[in-house]
Amino acid sequence: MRWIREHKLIAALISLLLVLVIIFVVSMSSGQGNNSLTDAVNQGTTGVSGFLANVGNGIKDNIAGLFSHGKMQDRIEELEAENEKLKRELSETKLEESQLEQLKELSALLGYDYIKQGHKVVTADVTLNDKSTWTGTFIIDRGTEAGISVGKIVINGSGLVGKITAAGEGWAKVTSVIDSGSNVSFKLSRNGSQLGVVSGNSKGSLSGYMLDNESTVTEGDIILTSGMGTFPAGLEIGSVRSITNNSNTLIKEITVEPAVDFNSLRKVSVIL
Amino acid sequence: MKYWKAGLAFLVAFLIQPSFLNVISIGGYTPNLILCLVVIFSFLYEEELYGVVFGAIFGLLYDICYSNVIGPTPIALVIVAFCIIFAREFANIENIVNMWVASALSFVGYYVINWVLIHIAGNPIGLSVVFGHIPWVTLYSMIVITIMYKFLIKRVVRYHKDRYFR
Repeated sequence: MRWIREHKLIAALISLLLVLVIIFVVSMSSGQGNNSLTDAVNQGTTGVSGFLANVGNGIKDNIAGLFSHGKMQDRIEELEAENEKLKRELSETKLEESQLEQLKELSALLGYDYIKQGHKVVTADVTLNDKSTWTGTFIIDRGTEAGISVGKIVINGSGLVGKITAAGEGWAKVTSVIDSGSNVSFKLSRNGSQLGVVSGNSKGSLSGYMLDNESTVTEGDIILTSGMGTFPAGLEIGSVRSITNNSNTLIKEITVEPAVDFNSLRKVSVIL
Repeated sequence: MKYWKAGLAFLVAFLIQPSFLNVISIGGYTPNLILCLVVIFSFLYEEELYGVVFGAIFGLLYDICYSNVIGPTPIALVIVAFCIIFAREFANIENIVNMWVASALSFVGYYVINWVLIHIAGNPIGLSVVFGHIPWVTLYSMIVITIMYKFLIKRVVRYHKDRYFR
């Protein structure tokens, strides 16, 4: 007690550290899931920070727009051409839709249960994304009110983004595939029988290995989710950037460039 | 500096860190504002313990919001603040080089402690990844720290009528 009275500052700091260590141990053993404290803090910060993120993105877009007029013109022409192509494809798809309806009727008559209803998708904005740390987590502005819950899969137009690890009213936490804790089972798009596993390496890419050391994987191969584990099959993960033969383990190790650009991620979709 | 002003600075840093600050990200990196404030407040204001108190509070809030486990950020911030408070006894705080040295060591210390703790919590991230990340964030953050230092430092100014300088 005398030592504490004489060294009040040190004693206070050690006490504070002890409290924090206890919180850490409790959090580690119980796991940080959805609790009222997390919900309250996230609801409070998402509102304010989400507004700041929108302001920041607006400024960034305007500044970028000032310096890229020529590029924008090219891009508009490119998009117009793409739009025409998509219109043509849409008219062809409408013809195919009628055929699909006929097939559905036929499958119902035969009791064939292959054609299922499509999943509902919720679109959300990325509101908070801290780039000063190596973790691959970020916050989106839709949560339980939109039907989002833990474990739901997050995608965008380019491919697989990650999955929901926590959710509350008006917010949800997404752990991306480039987070070091994530593991995704994949197959090659050109040969679905060649399987492997990739995980985030926190350098903004993925690294992993092929299950078969006789695999014919080559640089540039597109990889898709295999459907084993938590992710549904067929979502694009990325393309193979490099392949190395590990002479020690005799395993083909690969690094993968993600299909999604995580640095400029603004909008995502959650599969419900 | 008053306590509420320091608290407000930390609150602003906490809110803009993952949102508005992304406007000035370079190569996907942004400065770590909360750590910058902990370093500079611990270095410049010894008695008030701004770095320790607000580092613990906003570190906890940060982990609640963004991490999968609560604790690594506030523990690392408090340890860093603690070390700076003791180290400043041997340094001239009016010399900016000392500030830079303290900042660089603090950033390395903070990220290594953070890595150890999240590793204990089960995150398999390698130390090489962390060391690949540190130089850029540290460099960027030190620019921010230098600007803050220029605003906050109160140097002893020579005054011609002051007997102290005669």
